[in-house]
Amino acid sequence: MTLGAIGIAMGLSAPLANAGTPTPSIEIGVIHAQHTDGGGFIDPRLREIEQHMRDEPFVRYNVYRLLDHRRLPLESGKPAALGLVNGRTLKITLVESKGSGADRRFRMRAEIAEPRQEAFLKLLDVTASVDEPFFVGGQSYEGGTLFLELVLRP
Amino acid sequence: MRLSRETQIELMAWTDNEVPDEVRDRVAVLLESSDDARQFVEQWQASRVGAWVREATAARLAASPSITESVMGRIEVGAATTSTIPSLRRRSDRQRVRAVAISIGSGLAIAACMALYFRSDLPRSVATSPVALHAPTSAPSVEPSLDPGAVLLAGPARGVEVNDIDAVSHAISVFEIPLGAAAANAAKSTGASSVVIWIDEDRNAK
Repeated sequence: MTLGAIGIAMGLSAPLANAGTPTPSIEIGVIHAQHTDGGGFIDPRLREIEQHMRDEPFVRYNVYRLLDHRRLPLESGKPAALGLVNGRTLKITLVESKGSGADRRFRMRAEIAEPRQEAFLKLLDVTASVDEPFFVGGQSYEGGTLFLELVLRP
Repeated sequence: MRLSRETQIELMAWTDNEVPDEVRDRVAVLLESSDDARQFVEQWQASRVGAWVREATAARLAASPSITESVMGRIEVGAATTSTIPSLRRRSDRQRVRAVAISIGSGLAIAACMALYFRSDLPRSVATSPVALHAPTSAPSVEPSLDPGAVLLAGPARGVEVNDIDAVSHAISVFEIPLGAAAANAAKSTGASSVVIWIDEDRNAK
């Protein structure tokens, strides 16, 4: 097999190598949640959070502020990175896609790296469709916690 | 009159009979005097029917040996707070939750069928989790694998699936949440759900 043939074969087997198939971007919301004895507050931009105020773990907090909001293009196999307010770095890598049209599903991997330390989140492997948000919570930050809202966008 | 967020939460808790006496008295006064409050409670009560269907479905799934056998070894259903909290605990030496595919979400048709099937009087208190837990289709391995067949689910998949989590020495929990109305509409999957992956900041907090 020639090198060219090998290259073609590898290209065909690559998960997201379909020519003309657009890859999605990832929308990331960095949310600071706190519990206060005073009145609650939910950033009006956090409509998704507002609908989950009776659900765990959102019910634990009554103040939600959007600290950062980014949209990063995803390219198969190449991590998209976002520096977080706590000094850590969130990396999202698109692994593969399956299906087409409205049924198209994307598998992605996330990591939350920490400088000079073992990664806070070594691996999160998730499959989702576009416009289906999911959250990563638990990082301590300024008397509260951080929620990362992640949504694939077409 | 616009209801404050705190008042709305109190009213929701009152609807679920989860408030202490002093709050119950306060809510009773409010309901006497506020049309908004009465309307809010009516809407909330109506919305709880959908939640009951999910909980009842999950209770039956949790009671099914075919599903729980391999899953319960990995899943420790959280006993705290609400009934919608499955907690994933890492069990292997590398504390890896491996190939625990959580397929979340079912279509309205499925929900409707389940509602009919479970129309027997299933107490809400026995509901453990609305998450449909699918056993891994391959044996756990130490090293991560990108073999999609090992973790992706067959059939029409909707909602968010968690295939693998590794957070070293941090405890991990996965909470199922319903997709918000906007997201569900955008995804054209009204029964689909999402997840919150919760990683304790404290190391060795598992």
